[in-house]
Amino acid sequence: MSQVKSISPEKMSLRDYYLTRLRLTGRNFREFLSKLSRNPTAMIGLVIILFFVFLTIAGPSIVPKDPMQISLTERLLPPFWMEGGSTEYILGTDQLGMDLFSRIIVGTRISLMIGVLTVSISIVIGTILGLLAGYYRGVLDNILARFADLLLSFPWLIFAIFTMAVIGPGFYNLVFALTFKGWVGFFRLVRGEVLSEKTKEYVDAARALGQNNFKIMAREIMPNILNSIIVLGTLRMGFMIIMEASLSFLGLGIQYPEPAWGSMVNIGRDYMLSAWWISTFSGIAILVMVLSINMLGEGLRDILDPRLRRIE
Amino acid sequence: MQAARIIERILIAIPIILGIGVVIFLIMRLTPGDPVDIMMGQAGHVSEREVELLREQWHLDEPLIVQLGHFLGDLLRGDLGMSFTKGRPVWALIMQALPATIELAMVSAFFALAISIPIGVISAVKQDSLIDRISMAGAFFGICMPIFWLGIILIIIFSINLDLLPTYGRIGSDVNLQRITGFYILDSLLTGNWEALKSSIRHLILPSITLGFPMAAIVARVMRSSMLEILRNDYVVMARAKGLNEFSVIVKHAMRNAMIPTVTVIGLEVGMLLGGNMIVETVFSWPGLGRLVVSSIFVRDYPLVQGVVMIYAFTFVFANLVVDILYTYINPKISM
Amino acid sequence: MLLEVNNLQTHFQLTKGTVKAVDGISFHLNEGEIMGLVGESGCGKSMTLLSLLRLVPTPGKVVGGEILLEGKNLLKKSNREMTAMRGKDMAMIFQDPMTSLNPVFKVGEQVRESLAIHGYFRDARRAGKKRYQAEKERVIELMEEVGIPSPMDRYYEYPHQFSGGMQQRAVIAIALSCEPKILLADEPTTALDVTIQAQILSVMERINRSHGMAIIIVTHDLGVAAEYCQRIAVMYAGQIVEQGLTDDIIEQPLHPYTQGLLRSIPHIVPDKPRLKPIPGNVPSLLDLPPGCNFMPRCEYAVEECKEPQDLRTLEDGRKVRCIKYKDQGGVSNE
Repeated sequence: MSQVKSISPEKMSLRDYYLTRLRLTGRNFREFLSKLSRNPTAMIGLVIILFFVFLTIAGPSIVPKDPMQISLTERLLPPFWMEGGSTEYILGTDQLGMDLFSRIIVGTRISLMIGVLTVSISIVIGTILGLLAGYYRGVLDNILARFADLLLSFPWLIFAIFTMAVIGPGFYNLVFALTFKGWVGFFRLVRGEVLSEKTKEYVDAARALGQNNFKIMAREIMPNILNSIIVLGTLRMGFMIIMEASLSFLGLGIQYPEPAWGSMVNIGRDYMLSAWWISTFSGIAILVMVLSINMLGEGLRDILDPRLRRIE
Repeated sequence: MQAARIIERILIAIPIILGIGVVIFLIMRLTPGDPVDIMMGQAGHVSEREVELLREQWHLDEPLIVQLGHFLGDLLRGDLGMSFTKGRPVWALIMQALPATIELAMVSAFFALAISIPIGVISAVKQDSLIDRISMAGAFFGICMPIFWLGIILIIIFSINLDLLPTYGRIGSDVNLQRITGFYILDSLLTGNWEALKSSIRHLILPSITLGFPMAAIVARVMRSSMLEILRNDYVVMARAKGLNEFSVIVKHAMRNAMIPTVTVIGLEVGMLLGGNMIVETVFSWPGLGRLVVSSIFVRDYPLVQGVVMIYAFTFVFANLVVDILYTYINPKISM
Repeated sequence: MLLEVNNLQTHFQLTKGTVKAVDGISFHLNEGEIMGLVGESGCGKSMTLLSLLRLVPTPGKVVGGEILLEGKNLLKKSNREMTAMRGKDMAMIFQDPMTSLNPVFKVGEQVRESLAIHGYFRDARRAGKKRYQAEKERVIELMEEVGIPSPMDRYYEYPHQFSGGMQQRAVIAIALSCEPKILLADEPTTALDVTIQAQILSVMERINRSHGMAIIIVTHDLGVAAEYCQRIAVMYAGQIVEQGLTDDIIEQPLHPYTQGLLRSIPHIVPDKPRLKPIPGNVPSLLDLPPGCNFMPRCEYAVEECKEPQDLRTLEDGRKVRCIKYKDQGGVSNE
């Protein structure tokens, strides 16, 4: 929980309020950074993620080969340390002769983008609906909560596979299918927190001071649940990346020859006997990314919101 | 009192099942235009008669709400329609594939729990010891690992390089087994067919490790953290002060309490098990529901896809119902 | 002498340093006696009790001294012998009854468990009775004895269906079940309402009389100790600072800390002087300086208090750990 209660918001404009808060947050933020830097797990995670972010931005311009360049004469070449491999293709090639190393580097982009997009959209939708439902209760809350329960009664992957089967593969369809269920976690988190925060004294105090509902939500409730959202969002991002990879692996997500890690593992499956490196290295990339995100996420949880355990 | 709660739980499950039907119906209609035209156009090789069949099956000439009514009516009657690539009722196809899936899921869940619960307990009791650190690192990997990749790596190592275990299928092609229940382990025991038993167990090993690993990882973590919490309680000290030996204190007094949150998580993990099942069956060419649905997606056999997805969702609801009921038995605070 | 504790030391080895939760405590307990161990929270009195049962939680450890139960040193016993002894020779009840019963087992079964593990009614079958039945009958007797109404029904209830006072009675029934020689009561009434407190304490007093069971009551409430105990030991920061007969200590406290404690008990009598709190706080037990631990809060502190102080036995047999009584067997003129 952040410590907002020290600001008295009655006479301030929303702008001043946030400026003051920002200064306060600045202090909290420095404290947060020092805690973060003393948490080795989170730091390792963060460094790897930053590296992936760098690859996402710079990837296409630093790769040794065009990741989509087909070269049928150089199909299924092994990594450079094996017999028949060459330093031209560090991790070897796939069955169309495309450079595995370059494809893995460029593939960072799809995984990270899916993770960031699905989680941010889910956060926006889930938070807005959760705030409204939790604050106003009533019919809206009832309908949303029932719908959320319904979505929860679908296992994740089954829901995603089904939706992708109907709407067809593709990047935006993936984002749609994953956020369709993804907002529910944040909705439930925010709604639950609002319901409990609402009964606390500082909200009553704000109401007694004549603040309107929007201001109460924006000023009093939101800052207090931000930490939980950040933590859940980070942990959820790793999960979304696995989901995307799983769908692409089944041929329902990003499709070959687009460089997505999941579909690369799938392609390698047909060549397990002769070219183990395709699946192996593509999968390691997924593993490392999810590992680093979850390391950061669990570190953040310990720092920001120790009481938040697995939701959903 | 307990019976009342159980009935209440079952009654709650009914609208959820109907709701799942509605959600599936709506998603099926997500595609704009006449769904049959679109689906058939994509499938490419469907006859005029089949198009008519589907149009009729889905009542596409009538308004959406009437269609929904028909859909739910069929659902309640247990009529899941006809598969148009296999020409057989969806229900029959599901029943045929179900034993394979259940066998795999049960074996995976059994071993996942049999390993993860003791690991969680030991890690908590020996907190910060080497064994705790190693198991928790392993569990962390378990929740980060994409299982399709894990399956492939296991195949590469144990089947291809070490040549220890088979790569795909449920049973060796050279083994004959009389099919009675459809559960191969059970069938081979019933017929005393040791060759088949050996073969089917060998085929089960890699898929069930792959499917069970993430579940084991999560359950071990939850078990550990709830044990840590429980072990701080006075009643644990009290149990020791009564003169119970440490084993009974841990197993009888602490574990019973730590199981309460763990059971809830296990219920949720059944969802992971069902979803993972689709992937694992694909990776290991396991002839169950998961492979059925994944392969029918690509031939656009929508009645089949819809039917199987529904079965998965119902299984999940049912599993959570069971967990809920189980919960009332292990948590006395709820049952009253 | 039933129990004799000599120079008991229980330390917690933390990364920041050593916490001497129990720092060289010596006392004894006579048969059938009720003794009070009084002090503020955090002074090590609960740890003393847990040390007696060798149940100090990690990273704590009994590092020295001896605990002689009927002449035998408990610290020398094997773990197995110790386990067999707990509950049977020495039982314990805890501060918060709400958390000392296991929420998932029926109350009656929890009492019965004590009988079962210590092998009571092992031979019941020979007497023509089922063992479980014999145990159950005994449990119901026990529940009746500690004042749980309609024990036949309440046997099958779960702890959360009991009120706090009833839970504590059930805990006492568990402790009583094997008729131990010593009952260790760690703040048995702190978590309860005042009226219930008196009931619980009178149950304990009754048991003390009827079973001749010796009791050590740990409490922060000198009033409780004064009412029920024959002797009192006052603890401060891991050490006993004063020990003696209850009447002596109440009439004429020797140690400045005991005097302070007495002054901070509220009285209802109108013309008593106003409450006078002890200034300052209980010191952190982490790496205490060697001198008198109470010195920083003591109004009589002198330079010599920086030296370690022994627990002195005065001429009249009372014991006190204070420099004021260095030269005398006599009594101070407070």
